[in-house]
Amino acid sequence: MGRQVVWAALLAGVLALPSAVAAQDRQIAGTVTRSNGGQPVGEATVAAVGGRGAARTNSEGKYTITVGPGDVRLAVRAIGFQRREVIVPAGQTTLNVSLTEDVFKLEEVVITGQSTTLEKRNATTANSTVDNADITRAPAQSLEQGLQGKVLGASINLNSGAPGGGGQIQIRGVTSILGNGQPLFIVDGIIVSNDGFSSGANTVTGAGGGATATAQDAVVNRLADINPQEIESIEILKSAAATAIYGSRATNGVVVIKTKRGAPGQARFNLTQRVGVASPLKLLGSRVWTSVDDVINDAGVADYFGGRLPSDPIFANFPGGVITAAQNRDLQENFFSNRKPSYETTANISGGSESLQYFVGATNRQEVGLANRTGARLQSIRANVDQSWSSKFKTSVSLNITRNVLNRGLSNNDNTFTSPIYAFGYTPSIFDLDRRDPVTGAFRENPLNGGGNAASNPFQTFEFLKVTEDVFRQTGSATQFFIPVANDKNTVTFSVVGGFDRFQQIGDVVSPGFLQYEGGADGFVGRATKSSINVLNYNVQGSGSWTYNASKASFTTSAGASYERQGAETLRLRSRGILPGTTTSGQGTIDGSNGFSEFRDQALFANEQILALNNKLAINAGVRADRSSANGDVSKFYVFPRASASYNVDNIGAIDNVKFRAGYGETGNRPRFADRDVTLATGSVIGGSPSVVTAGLVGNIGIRPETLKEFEGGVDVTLFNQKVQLEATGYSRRITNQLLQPQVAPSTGVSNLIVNAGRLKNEGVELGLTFVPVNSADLQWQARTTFQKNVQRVVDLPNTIPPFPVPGSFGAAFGRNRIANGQLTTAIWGNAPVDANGAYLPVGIYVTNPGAVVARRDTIIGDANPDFQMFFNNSLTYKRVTLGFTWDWRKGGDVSSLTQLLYDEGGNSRDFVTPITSADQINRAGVPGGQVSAADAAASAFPRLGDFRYAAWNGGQDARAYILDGSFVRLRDVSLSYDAPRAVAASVGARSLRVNLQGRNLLLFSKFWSFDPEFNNFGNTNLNRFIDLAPFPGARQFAVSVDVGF
Amino acid sequence: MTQTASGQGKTTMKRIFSWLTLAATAATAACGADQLTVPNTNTPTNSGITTNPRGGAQLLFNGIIASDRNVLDNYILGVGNFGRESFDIFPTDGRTVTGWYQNFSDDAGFGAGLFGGYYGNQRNVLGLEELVQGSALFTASEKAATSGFARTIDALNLYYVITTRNIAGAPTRVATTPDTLFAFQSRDSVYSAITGNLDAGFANLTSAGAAFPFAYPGAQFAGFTNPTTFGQFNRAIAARVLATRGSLATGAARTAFYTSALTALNTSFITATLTTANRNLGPAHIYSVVAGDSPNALFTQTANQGFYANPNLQTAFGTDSTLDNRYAYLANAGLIVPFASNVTSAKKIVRFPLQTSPIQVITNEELYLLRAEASYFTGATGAALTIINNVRTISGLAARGAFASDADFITELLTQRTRSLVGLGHRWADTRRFGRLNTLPTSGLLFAKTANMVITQQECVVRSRQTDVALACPAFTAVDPQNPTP
Repeated sequence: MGRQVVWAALLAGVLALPSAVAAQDRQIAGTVTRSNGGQPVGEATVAAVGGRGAARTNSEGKYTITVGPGDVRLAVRAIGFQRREVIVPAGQTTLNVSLTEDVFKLEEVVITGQSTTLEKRNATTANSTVDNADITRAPAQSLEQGLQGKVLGASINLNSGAPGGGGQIQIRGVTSILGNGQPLFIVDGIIVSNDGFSSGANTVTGAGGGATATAQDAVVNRLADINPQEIESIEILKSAAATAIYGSRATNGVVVIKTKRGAPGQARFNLTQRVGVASPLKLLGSRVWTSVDDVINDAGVADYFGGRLPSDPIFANFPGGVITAAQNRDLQENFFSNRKPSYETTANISGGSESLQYFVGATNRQEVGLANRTGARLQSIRANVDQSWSSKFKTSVSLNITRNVLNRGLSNNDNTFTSPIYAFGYTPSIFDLDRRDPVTGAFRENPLNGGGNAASNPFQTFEFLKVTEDVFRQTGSATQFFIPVANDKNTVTFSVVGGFDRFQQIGDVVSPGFLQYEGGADGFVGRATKSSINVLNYNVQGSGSWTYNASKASFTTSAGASYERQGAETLRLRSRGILPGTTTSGQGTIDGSNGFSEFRDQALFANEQILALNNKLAINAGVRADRSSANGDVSKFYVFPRASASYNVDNIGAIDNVKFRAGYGETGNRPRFADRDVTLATGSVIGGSPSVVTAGLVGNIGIRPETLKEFEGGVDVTLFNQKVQLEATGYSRRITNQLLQPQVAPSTGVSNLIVNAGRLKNEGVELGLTFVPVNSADLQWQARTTFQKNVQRVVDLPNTIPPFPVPGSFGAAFGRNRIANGQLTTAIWGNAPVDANGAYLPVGIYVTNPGAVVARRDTIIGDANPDFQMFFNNSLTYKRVTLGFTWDWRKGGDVSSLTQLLYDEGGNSRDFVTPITSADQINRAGVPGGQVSAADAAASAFPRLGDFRYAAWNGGQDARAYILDGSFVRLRDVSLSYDAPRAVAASVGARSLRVNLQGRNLLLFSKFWSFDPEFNNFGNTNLNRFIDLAPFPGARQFAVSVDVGF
Repeated sequence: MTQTASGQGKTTMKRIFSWLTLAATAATAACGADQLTVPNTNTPTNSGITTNPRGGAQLLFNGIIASDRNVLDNYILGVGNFGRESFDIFPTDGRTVTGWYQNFSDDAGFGAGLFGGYYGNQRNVLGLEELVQGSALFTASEKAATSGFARTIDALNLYYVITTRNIAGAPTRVATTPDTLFAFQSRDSVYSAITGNLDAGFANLTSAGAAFPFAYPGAQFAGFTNPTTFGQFNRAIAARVLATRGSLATGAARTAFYTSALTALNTSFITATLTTANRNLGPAHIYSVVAGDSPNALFTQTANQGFYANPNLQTAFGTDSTLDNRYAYLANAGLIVPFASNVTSAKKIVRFPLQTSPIQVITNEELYLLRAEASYFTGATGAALTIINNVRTISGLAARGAFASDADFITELLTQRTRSLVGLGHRWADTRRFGRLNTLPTSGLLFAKTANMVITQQECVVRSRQTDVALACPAFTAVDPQNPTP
């Protein structure tokens, strides 16, 4: 009820704003059509250039505009079409305009400065642009998922399949080992937080030890709060020559999001209703047990505590010790069996007058998770208003309120046998964990691991455990434009933009004492953790730009300054031993934590943009100076220059246009909060008293930002009368003054120092081929194929910094990234056995000939970086039907599959007893030392596949055994849309009607044994992104949606 | 005309643009760099400690005691594996067993731990000493008491290091600057440094007043919390170290060490008689489940994980186990450890039944056994027999006859030490110092025995870039691209 009132008030307020139309002006009316076929173009904007008057076409392409009495120049624009300007003489009252499609979007404007833009045909850098249709083609858990396969040069991975999303965008590889690894996200001028905060799942899983929160808690980064339905377009700035305008927060690229805004014309009301259902993209299955003896002897954990397991009543069901196939249950299938429908409702109204335009939208999205009582609900309201007070003053205001409630259950690593896949990995499928007692309703106890509080029944856990994350977020911005001069020669614009991003994330974990696992580990029965994370970010920026149009060139000079602040405070309260029936954190043994981080940044910037030689030559150059509270010297400005240029050549034979572009830029990545501080550390409580100890990590008062220096060059070619476009970009990046945390000798009494040292070297290519095989009146087909490859190494690491593992992962037994001079940052290092000569022995040697092993080396056993990645986007329109789909091919990229290790250790993997007959079965591609022969493996004491793998791993002495190839081909999204004829729409009183069938993640082709090679146990980490460990399975989503416009 | 108008317009534009842009820029820049100072109040600071030296000293003291406590249980778990005394069971990660037995030579593995924490605590001690000795607020006797405490704890930490590293040696101290390395010293040099520290510390404690300038938190070290009683603890540790040195030496040196050990014992807290009531008397670390505090990691109340007995420990109890009241340290708990080890255990070590069970750093019974050992090797074999029989009889066993040989005595001593000190982390070092490591079983497929834990990879790779050739890092340390030949 409360939400409805707010919604109505906003709507009423906006609609009540006065419009201003003078009665004495003449009207021009006409129709806007598509040049190829003559179909009407709806939603086209018709506006008088340099004067007042604007209108929008209806679904029949018709418009009526009020203009002044003299000659006027009308500009006609529509998304996907080339802009056209027509002079309408005085007295003419009719104008019909045909528009040509802008297949390659050359007329889109791209960002070139804090307050300047340029048409894409002149763009000097390789920016990527994605529009609303691209990201909403199919239901998405979060914005990252909508962007997957759409952004050339970006690697976008979801960390798990849990509802609500959570993923990482890496642009042109990793640019920082320890510093911020996320792009800078800007929505309507507001720098928005994409930080992720745990809501406390570790309280139960203990994945990170005794704390309440760790990176392994399937943390959701807050990009999840952005509603894709509100987005008009997204521009991704990749090159430093482009991102340098954002200074010391821009080494990872900048994602500039524009939300939908109103356009002059009568009010348009749009309603989209989507209903869908999800199913697991892939489940792992498990071993089909055939005898009780096997269960007793093979179920790894089961037999640790002999005596308990065989007494389980289930064994009475297996007379003679024989288990039939039907008596095996698919616990995963039964667990991830929630097929309740998800839905999404989006409504918006937009329109306005010449002076005032508005957009008000609301979305209510309920994503149902695959597991019981999991899901994500996003509710969002947005109001965007643009008011021109006069020809000199204009104000734009954006306001968004979001509530995002996530119930993601447990997943990933645990140390308490509570994460479902972890538990299923060890639990033979004969145990009916999913069955409830018909009388009491109670779940049966999981007898594994000795039963009792040493194990859990995930079905019981998810029925009663509460793990909720509730985010209430408000973002807003206001921009004031002052345009003192605007004529053919000069345009001067000043703008002040201020924005805020405020949210509170409430985490609520309640684990009742009656759950099976309660009472383990720390002995407490029943626990609850409440988290409250308060974030307030704001930024304000003032700038001015002056465009001077000379006869042969135009010059745009701009300059300004900005101030940014980001602050987060975290409060956590944990209670252990809570009373039965209670959910509050005020009982039992209580402990809490409180911490904050705050950044304050100041910047000055200036930019010069030149268009010359009849718009063939574009030059862009600028400089930005930043200083930050995070630097050692807070008063020092760090300067980031940039320069780039493009040159267009038109009409050379079959070549319509070729553009050469090149650029150089420098950007920064500031240190983390507190890197500059040399402090002591808080010790544990002892005897009721606090304590202070020496800090293991020693801060550095001279710490400074990392600096990225990048050369980018490329060429864009349009061929065969706008049928084909080829874009090719190469880049070379050097990130100097890397923020590193090298280990020091433990005998010094400290563990790590913080320093700036070494360089990262990233080099890569990005290729895009867009072609239009057919573009007739009835059939249009557009296909875009992209290719990207990036390789990154650490160089120039001083001799004083020996190789060190990147923090935030497991050890050499499982593989992790290490920073070593001259080596790939993405190289996976782990244990591998060597013989007396130091030669690597094959994987499986611990099974076939353990005596040959004389030592183990911590060495490179894989590479998490893909060899390359290709996206295939297609859009086919036949009359009123449009089919769109995206394929994604990743070649290479190794994964440490600890999920497979869990199942093997439990004797429970689906192929555990499969006889080894071919080398392919035990192949660990590309690892040093190769593999033992299949014949030797088959003749060994462990001739069964899962058994062999686990024995070959040998307690982590040969980490290669679980390094798997993560190559895949997948169908990211598909949509099939039907635009109903106007008459049909009109029959239901609508202006337009569209019906869509949509699917996401429909197909995955991969030899990867586990769920999804993209998933990562540690969430959004810069490196160590290859740990597959008991994730929440990915969802295959289907939906039907209806778009109705009024 | 057009050019003139354009030129005027340009000038006007320049003026408008320049002034307004400058104004906006100046307004923002005027915020000044002082706006950018954000103090980090999440962690304690040096300046905060020195503002109130007495309060600061108490906090640093608490930190030293807490750090000492927090590594003790893990030390016992670690050396228990090597001494075939215990397993550390974590059912869903078999490496907690196999890591110690199979990967002991892996410098990034389980057996490479128990190293940095001790030096970290030496650094804590350094901080306390710097604060107290540098402040005029503390009296001379308080400063002496602080030095006595600091040197004793320093020595104790170093004792743990050299017990695990043995012949690999170790650096003996930390520098004031965090990245300064001191060279590895030989095992004997380290023991010598430990003895030197203990003796100097004892001298300090003797000249100190009646109290430390800080109070032991809670019931930590109850009975040993003033310079006098803490001095008795100092002497007890000194006796342990001297006895160890004696067992590693020969001839006159051996006799001298054992003689000194007897002297130290006489000023330790050893009681007049040994009884079942006072056998476990000694300074103890207290564990707690209070928020922020540390529970005893060796406790046994969690089903199916934790501190299990190696079958060889049961063997050491022999057939008279039902008579020996020390058998109560073990309890039935069927277990088959991960199949890679193929080792079974029928017992759990239940010396610490609760998360709050205290762990004695050294016990009265150990002092008696040290006295027996020192007596025997200084020629007082009768006195040694008396003590051994004292231990046997209070344990429910019959007294035994005279020792037939040194070997017979050592066998008897090791048996009694194994049983009396079960769960306190002595068996590996005891069998090693008497050359009896070969009496321990390998305990499983692919398992192996070792006389020392390896130096951690982190220490090795840092030193590999230095010129410290004395370091006995394992031959197969991490591949270093700049030094590809290990």
